[in-house]
Amino acid sequence: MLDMSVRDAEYSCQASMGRASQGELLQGTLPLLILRTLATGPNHGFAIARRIQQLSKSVLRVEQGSLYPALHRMELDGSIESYWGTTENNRKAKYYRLTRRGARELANETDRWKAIAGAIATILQEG
Amino acid sequence: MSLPAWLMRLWLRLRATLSGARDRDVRHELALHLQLLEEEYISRGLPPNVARARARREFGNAARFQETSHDLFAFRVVEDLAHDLRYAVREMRRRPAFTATVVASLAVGIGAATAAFAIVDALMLRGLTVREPDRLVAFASTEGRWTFWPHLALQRWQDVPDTPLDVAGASDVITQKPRAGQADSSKDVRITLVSTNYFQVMGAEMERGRAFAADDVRAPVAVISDEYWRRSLGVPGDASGLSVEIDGIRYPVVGVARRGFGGHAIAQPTDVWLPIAPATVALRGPGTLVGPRWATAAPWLHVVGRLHAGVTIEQATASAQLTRQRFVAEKIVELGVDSPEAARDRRQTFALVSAATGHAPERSRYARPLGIL
Repeated sequence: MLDMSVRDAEYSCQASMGRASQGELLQGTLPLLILRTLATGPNHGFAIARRIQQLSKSVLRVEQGSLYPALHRMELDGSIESYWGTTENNRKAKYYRLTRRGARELANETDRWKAIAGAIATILQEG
Repeated sequence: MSLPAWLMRLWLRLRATLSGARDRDVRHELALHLQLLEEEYISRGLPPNVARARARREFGNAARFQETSHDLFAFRVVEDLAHDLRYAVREMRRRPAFTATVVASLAVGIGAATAAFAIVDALMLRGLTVREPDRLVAFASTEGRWTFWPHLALQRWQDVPDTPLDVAGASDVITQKPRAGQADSSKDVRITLVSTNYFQVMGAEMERGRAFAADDVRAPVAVISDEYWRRSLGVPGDASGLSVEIDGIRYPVVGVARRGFGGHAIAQPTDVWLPIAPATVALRGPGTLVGPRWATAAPWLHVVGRLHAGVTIEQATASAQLTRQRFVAEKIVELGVDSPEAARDRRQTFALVSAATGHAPERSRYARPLGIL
């Protein structure tokens, strides 16, 4: 099975050349995936990572080394906000939820991603 | 989000920098992730110790991205500053001699700068607290130094018909020991003898009472500064009925000058003004106004003037010089062309200079070095 890491190049200080080029391709996709995941409701970091993995049928695996910096950056940018909640096992966990701004970003970015993916798909088919 | 985004961001960052709570939050968040990862492996059937080892390996270096997150939120500059300060304090405690030297140098430096500024402020920046100071002039040498004139010369300038400027005379400051029993007897009392129109010419307003009137030369009266009023006569209170005693003579106070006015001599503010009169002139010592007529020609008065509206300083100078020439000509007729006094008067040249910032002979001496400062 194909195992591809989603890395945001911006946060990946130790990325080798090969991985960096892979990350570059996918740059900006991690925040989009996080926004998409949180659109179904607030969640904590671990669950967000698992949910992305699950939704991508295990194709995409999010490393925590990328996940948390991305979450914190997005919180700072105001597209998500955090609060302390309890998990189903009654553990204290930091939950993230979409802000109104985040919801707007999700819509815009989804459209943009689809346009780019469509364009790339067209080119690849032409080839 | 109710707050503007940038404000929210600033708040988050400030909180993170100052409290350290953010770091605890991140540690907790990462610890939970590790724990959930471990539990996930256990639920897949791995033995606990293997599950833990695998979770840790996969998790990687938590400290690294904890730091990344910290940098994201905190103000590095503020933090580094705090670190530096703590380091500085530690070092200073370890080396007290060095610290004392540094502190002493700084103290001397700051003190010197402050003192220098006080002088600059007093001599160069602060003007006179009078009405339209730009119209004030003084009779000076052609190099601009204020000169002393005999009382007779002042009177001649005062008597010019259709004069383009009003002139008044003022002695230099006479210093007297204060009378015992005053509220503040530590400072000398500074007295200036002035012609009765001095305050009108200077454009100095009265805080209380009145300025001198023309017939105040007959009975002893005084005008005092607001500063002196407060300093030594125990005020604020009623100024009426006040008097100052100088050389055994009691001078009733008729007026208190407006706060901030200490006469034209900026560096030596006057406490008490007395009108130029035979009785007060004696304060300067014997011989000033006594003796034969030309003997009273001793120069002891600064002459200040207030230009009439629309008059330039050059026009006023020309007019004053013309009057002076007539006066000197009269003296020559009376004393003879070969008299030493006539010769002196003929040589004497003068010009009017602006007195908008008062009289401070120190100013020209310090102007250049202070200007550099």
